[in-house]
Amino acid sequence: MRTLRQKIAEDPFLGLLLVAPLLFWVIVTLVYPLLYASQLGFYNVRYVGAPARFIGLSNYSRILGDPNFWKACLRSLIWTVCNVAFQVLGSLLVALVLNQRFRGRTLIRNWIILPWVLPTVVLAIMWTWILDPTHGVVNYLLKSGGLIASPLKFLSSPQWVMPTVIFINVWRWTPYFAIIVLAALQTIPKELMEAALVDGASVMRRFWHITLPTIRPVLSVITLISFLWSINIFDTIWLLTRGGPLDFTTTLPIYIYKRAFQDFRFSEAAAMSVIMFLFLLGFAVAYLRTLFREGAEG
Amino acid sequence: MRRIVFVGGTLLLLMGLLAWSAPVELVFWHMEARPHRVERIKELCDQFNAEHPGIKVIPQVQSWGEIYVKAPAAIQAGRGPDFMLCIPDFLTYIKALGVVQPLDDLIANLQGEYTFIQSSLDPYFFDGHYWAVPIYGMDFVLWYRKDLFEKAGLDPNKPPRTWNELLDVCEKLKTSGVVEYPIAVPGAIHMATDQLIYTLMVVNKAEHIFGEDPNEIIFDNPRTVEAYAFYKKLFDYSPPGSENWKWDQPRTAFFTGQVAMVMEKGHYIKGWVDNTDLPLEYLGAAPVPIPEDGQPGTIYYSNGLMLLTDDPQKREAFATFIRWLYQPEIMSRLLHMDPGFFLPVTQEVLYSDAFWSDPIIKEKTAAVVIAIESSKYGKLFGFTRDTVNPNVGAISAGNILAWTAQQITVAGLSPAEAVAKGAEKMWEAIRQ
Repeated sequence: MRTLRQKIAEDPFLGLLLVAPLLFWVIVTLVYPLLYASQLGFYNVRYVGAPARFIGLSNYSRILGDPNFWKACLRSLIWTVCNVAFQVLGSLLVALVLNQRFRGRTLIRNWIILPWVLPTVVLAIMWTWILDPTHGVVNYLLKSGGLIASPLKFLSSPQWVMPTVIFINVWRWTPYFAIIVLAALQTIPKELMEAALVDGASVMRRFWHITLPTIRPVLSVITLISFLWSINIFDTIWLLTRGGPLDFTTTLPIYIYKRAFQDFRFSEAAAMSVIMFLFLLGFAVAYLRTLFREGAEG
Repeated sequence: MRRIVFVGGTLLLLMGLLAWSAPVELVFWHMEARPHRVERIKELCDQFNAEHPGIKVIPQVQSWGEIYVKAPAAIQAGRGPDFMLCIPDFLTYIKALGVVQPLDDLIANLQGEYTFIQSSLDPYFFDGHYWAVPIYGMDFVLWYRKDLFEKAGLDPNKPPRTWNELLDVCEKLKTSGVVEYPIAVPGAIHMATDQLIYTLMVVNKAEHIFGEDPNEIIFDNPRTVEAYAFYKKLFDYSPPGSENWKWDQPRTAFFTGQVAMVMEKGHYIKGWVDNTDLPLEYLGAAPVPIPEDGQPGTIYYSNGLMLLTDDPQKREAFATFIRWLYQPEIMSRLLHMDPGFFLPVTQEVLYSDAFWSDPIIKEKTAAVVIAIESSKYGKLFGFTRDTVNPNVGAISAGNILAWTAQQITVAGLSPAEAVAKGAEKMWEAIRQ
C-alpha cells in the first residue's frame, strides 16, 4: 500500500491540491492586502472610499523627507532593541532558575505564564492603575518608603514613559520565551553535565561550553521572533499611552495608524507600511541566512 | 400541466403580495453604546415599528472609537446603514463619500411645526443645504462639590463666575487642605481635552479656527494664546498624571472627592446618582467661568441623524420616523436615557412637561437650566462660519487642540509657541 508521501511524489497535482486551501487563505489574508497597500501608496487617498488620484512616488518622497517618520523609526529601533535584549536575556535567566530543583518549582512553572495569558486590554488597565501617580500602589510604596517626595509620572512624563512601556512589554513576553528556553534546557543530556562535573568544570564553564551551545539555535529563533513581534507591537503601546505623551512612544506602527485614522492620510500610511514590510522582510531573510550559514559551518 | 401552472401562478402571486406588504426596512446605526442608552433607543424603535406597520427601523449599535473606519468601509461595500447618528465633523467625513442626502425639505417641514434651538441646527447647514436633523445637544458647565466648598469655608452657593475667581477658588481650596488638587483637567491627546480647551477659547472670544475663507487657519492669535495660558494655570492645579487624563479620570476624581471642580457635560448628574451615595444637592453647577473681557459660552454640539440612501421609499420612511421622534413626549423619552446630558433641540421639548417630568431632571432643574442656557451661546470648532472646510474632520480626529496643549504641559513650550505649532499642524491637516 502506497503512503501519502509516495502518492504526492508521483502526482505533484495532488500535493498542490492539498496545500491549495492554505495557499488560498494566505493569498486572501496576506498577499491581497499587501498588494492593495502597495497600490494605495501610489495614490493620494485620504480615507477609505474617497476619490483617488495617481501621484507616483510622491508619497514615498514625502515620507522620506518627513522628520516625524524618522523619529518614529528611531523610537521603533530603541523599543525593539531594548525589548529583544531584555526578553532574551530575561527569559534565559528565568529558564536557568526554573531548571534548578527547588521547592515550589512546579507551581512557579505553571503560573509564570500568566502575564502572557492576560488579554492586552486587561494588562493595560492593570498597569495604568498600578503606576497611577495619585492612586497607584508603586507611587504609594515609593512615597511611604521615603524614596520620592512627589509622585513619579510613569506614563505621562517624557523621561519615564518609554522605559515604563518597555518594562511592561518585557514583563509580558519574557515568561513565554522562558518556557521555550526551559524546554530547550531540558534537552541537554544529563550525562554530559555529569561528566563535566566529574571533570571539575565550574558552573560558568558548563554554561559557556555545554548549555549555551546546545540551546543556541533556540535562542537565535526567539531573538528573531522577539524582534519581529516587538517591532510590530501596536496594542500594548496604544492602550497604555496612545503613543503619547506628545509623540514620545509613537513607534512606527503607532505612527502609521495615526497617519491613516487620525490624520486621514491613508495612502501615506500604506506607503509607510510597505517600507516597514520590506525592511522586516530584508531583516528576516538576512538573519535566517546568517543563521543557516552558521548552522552549516557549525 | 394545469396543476403546475396553477401552483406556479399562486406562488408568484403570493411572492408579489409578500413583497408588496413587506415593511420598508431602515437600518439605523447609532453610537450610544452604554447599555441603558442602547435599551432606550431599542425601546423607542420597537414602539415606532409597532405604530407604523409599513416601516421597520432596525437599530444597530456601533462605537465612536471604530466608526471613522467602519462606516466608510461598510458604505463602500454596500452594507452601510440607511441612516445614522452623527456629529458635525463626522458628517463632513462621510459626506466626502457622496452618500449623505440633503434634508432641506424635512428641516423646512419641521421648522413649520417646531422652533429649533438655532445652535443645534447651524453646524448642519453648509454648502447651501441641511445635511442632518439634530436630535439632542450637549455642552459644558462647571460642576463643583458644594460639600467640599463648605468644608473649605467657601460659600457653596457662590461658584466662581470669572477666570480670576476660578483661580482664586482653586488656591483657597488647596490652602484649606480639604483637597490637594482643586480641579481636574484632562490633558491627553483626546477629545476630552479638545473640548475643554475649545470651551476656554469660546469664552475668550477665540471661537474661530478658520477665517472667512475656510482654507485660512486663524488659530494662531492672542486670544487663543490667552485661553491656552489659562488652561495651563488650571492644569497646574490638577492631579499629577493629568497629561493622560481623558473622560473617566476627572469623573472618578470628582466623584471620590479627590478634586472639587471639573468642567464637563451633563452626564455628571446621572453619574453622580449611579456612582456616589452622596445627596444630589451636593452637586453644584454653574456656567463656565469667563475672563473679564470675555463672553458667555461653551463648546456645544448637537448629535444628528443623517440619511445615507436616495431610495424615495426609504427617504419617506425616514421622514416619518423623524416626525414621530420629534413629538415632545417621544423626544423627552429619548433624552431621558441620560437625564441632564442630552439637551432638547426644540423649544417645544424644552417647554414640555414631559421633558421636566424625569425625577433626576426635576431634582437638578437648576443645573439643567444652566446647561440649556449655555447652549444658546454654544459653538463648535470648524463650524462657526457659513462655509465649512471639508477636511475639518482631520483637525478633530487628530485632536490638534489637545496636541497643542501637550506642547505646553509635556514639552514645556510657552502658550504662544505651542499655539504657533498647533496652527502649523492644522495647516498640514487640511492640506489636500
